[in-house]
Amino acid sequence: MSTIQLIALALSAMLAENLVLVHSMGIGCRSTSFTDPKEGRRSGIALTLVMVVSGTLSRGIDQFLHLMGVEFLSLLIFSLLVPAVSVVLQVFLHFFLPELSLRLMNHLKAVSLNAAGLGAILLASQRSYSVGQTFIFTLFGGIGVTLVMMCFAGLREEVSFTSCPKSFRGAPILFITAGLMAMAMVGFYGLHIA
Amino acid sequence: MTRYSIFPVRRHPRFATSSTPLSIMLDLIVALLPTLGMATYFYGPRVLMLTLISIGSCVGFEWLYLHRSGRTWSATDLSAYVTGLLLALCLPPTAPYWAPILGGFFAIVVVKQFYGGLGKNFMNPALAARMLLCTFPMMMTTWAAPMNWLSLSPTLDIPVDVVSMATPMSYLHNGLLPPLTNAQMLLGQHSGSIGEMSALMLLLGGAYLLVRQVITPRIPVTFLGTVAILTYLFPQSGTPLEWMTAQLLSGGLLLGAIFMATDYVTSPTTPRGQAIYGICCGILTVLLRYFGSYPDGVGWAILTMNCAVWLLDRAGMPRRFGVHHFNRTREFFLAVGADFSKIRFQVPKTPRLPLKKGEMPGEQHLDKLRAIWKSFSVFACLLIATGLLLAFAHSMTDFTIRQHDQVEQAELLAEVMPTADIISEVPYRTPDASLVSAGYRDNTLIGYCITLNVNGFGGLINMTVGIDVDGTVTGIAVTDHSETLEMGTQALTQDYFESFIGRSGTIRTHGANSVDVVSGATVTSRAIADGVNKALSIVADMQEKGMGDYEYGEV
Repeated sequence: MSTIQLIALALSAMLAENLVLVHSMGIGCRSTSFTDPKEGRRSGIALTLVMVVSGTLSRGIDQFLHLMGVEFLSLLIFSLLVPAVSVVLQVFLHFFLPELSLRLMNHLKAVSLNAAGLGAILLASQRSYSVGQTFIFTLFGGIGVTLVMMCFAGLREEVSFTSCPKSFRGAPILFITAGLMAMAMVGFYGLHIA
Repeated sequence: MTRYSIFPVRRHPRFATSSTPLSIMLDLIVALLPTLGMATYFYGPRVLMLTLISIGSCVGFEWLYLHRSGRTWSATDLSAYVTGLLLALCLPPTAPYWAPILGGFFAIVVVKQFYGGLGKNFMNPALAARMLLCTFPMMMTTWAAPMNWLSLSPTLDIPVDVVSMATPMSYLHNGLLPPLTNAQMLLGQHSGSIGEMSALMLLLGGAYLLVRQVITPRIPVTFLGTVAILTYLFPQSGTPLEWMTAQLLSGGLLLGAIFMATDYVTSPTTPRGQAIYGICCGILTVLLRYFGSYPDGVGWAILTMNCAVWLLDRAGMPRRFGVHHFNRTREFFLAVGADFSKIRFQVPKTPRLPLKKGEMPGEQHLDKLRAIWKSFSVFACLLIATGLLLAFAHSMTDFTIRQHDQVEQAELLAEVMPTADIISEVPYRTPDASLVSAGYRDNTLIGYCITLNVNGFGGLINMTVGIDVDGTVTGIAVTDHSETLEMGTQALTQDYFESFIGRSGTIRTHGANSVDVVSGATVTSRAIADGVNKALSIVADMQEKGMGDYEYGEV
C-alpha cells in the first residue's frame, strides 16, 4: 500500500464518501451537537474515537471469524462491537481520566448506537481493507463527520431557519439545508487519485 | 449648508464613494457587461435571449414569492438581476430555455428566499443553481464552437444545429494542454459557458470592481495564487509556466474567483478568514480538476467552502487593539494548554465498602458482581440463541446461494468467451485483477477471462473481459457500476461492448486502433477502454511469466 493510495483513501473517506452527506450515516448524536459547534466538535471526537478503536478491532474479529468459518455471524458481532467499545471507553475514562470523562461522557453515550460506527466497519469489511487502511478510513471518515457537524451547527447559529413559509419550518428546512450541503459534495463523487 | 462656529470644525477625510446595496449591484452588472458582450459576439443573439430569460425568471420568482408571502417587493433591489445575470453566464450557450427558468426558481426561492432573502442566504444562489443544472444529463456536456451564431429556437438539436468543440477544461482534465494560443485563451476564442469565454473581459470587470472598491483583492488573489502555485508545482504536460497559464485562463476559475467567491453574503468577513477561504477554495479546485469526475471543480469548491464560512470566521477573529500578534497567539496556546492540563491520568482506588455485622469482608462486592452477571446471562443467552438461529438459517440457504452464484459466474464467463466449453479459475494472482479464469475448448487453452475494477464517473465499475490466446478481445460484461442513468450507462450497452470485440494491442479513444467514445458518456467510455487495456496487459504478462505453480487440490 503506497503512501499515495493511503492519501487517496483519506481524502475519499473525508470528502467523496462523507459518511453524513453521502452515506447519510452518523446523524445519531446528541441534538445539541447540531446546534452548538463546540458540542459538535466534542461529539465528533467521541465518534471518531469509537470508530477508530472498533474499526481496528473489527479487522481482527473478521480474520478470526473467517478462520473459524462462521462469517455469517459478522453482522451480529459487529453490531454489538460499537456499543461495547463505547461502554468500555466510558468505563475506562470514568476511572482513569475523570476530567475527560466529564467532557465526553454524554457524547460517548449518544454515539454508541450511531450508524457511522457500524457503517464504517461494514464498508471496511465489504471492501476487505487491511488494518492500516481501516485505521485511515475510520479516522478520516470521523474527521469528515466532525467537520460536517461543526459546519451544520455553525449554520444553525448564523442562518435564520424561521423565515421560510410556515409549512417548511422545523425539520423540513433543516433537511433542505443538509440537502444543499450534500449537493455541494456531488462534485467529489468518483474522486480517484491514481 | 455651512455652519458657522468660533472654533474651526475638523472633519475626518472622506472618500467620494458611497456604497449602497444599489450602487454595489449596479457596479457588478457593469463589470459583467464586457464578458456578456464578448459572448454575444461569439455566439450571437441566443446569449442575450438566455440572459433575458434568466434575469426575467429570477426577478419574476422573487416578485411572486414576496407577493405571496405578503412582503413588499422593492424595484431598487437589484440583487435578483445580478443573480440572474450570473446564472446566465454560468450556462452553456446551447442550454435550452427551460434551464435558466428552473435555475432561477431554485436560486431565488430555495437558496435565497427560504433563508430570509437578501443578505441571509448561506450559499451563492447563482452558483448553487448552476451546480444543480450541472447534474442534469446532457446539459453541460456539449459545447458549441465560437464564431458560429446559434439559432434562437428554444431547444437546439445538438448534432444538427451545433458545431461542437471540446472545451479547454476537457483537455486539461485529460492532462493535455489545449491546442490554443495564449491570445485565443485571453480573448475567449474557444468553447465554454457564456461567462467562461473571455479571460480578458473578466479581468477587466475585476479591475473595475477593485477600482470602485466593491471587492477587496484578498479572496481573488489568495484563490488564484493558490491555484497558480499548485499547478506550477504539479504540471501534467508542457512546461510548468504553460500549464499554469492554461489552468488559470480556462474554465470558470476567473468568473468564480472574481464574482462568485467574493459575494459579501457567502464569504467570511474577517481578513484572516477571507485568506483561509481563498486558499481552501484554491486547494479544492486543483484537487477536483486533477482527480475529480467533472472537468471543472471551481463551482464545487466554492459551494463546499460556502458551508464552512462560519467556521472560517471564527478561525479568523480580528485581533484586539493594542495586543501584539505574537502575544495573542501565545495567549491562545497557553489557554488551550491550561484547558488540556486539567485532563490527568489517575489510578483509580478500589472503593471501600463499610463492613456490616454478620457479613464477610468483600461479600458486598460479590453481591454486586452477581447482579451484573444476572443481567449479562440473559443477554448472553439471547446472543447465543440468535447466533444459533443465524447458523441454522445459514446452513439451510448456504448451498443454494453458492450454487446460484456459481451458475451466475459461469453464465457471465460464457458470455465474454462464447467459444469455450469449460472455464475454470487459475491460480494467477495480480493486484489489478480480482479473478483470472482460463477458457478451454476440447481440452486446449483458448483464452482467459479477467475480472477487474476500473474507475468510472461515479465510482468503481466491475467488469469481466474475455481475451483469447492471440490477445484479441472476445467479449465484455459489466456486473456492477454506479454510473449516472441515461448518461454514463450509454457506454454500458452491448452495442458499445461489441465495438471492442476482435481488437488487440493498446486500444485508444482517438487516433489509430481506437473505439470512439460515446458522446455524453466520455468518462465511462474511457473507463471501459481502460479496463480492456488493463486486461490485455495482464494476459500478456501472464503468457510471458507463465500462470505460476499449480498445486493439485488448491483452489
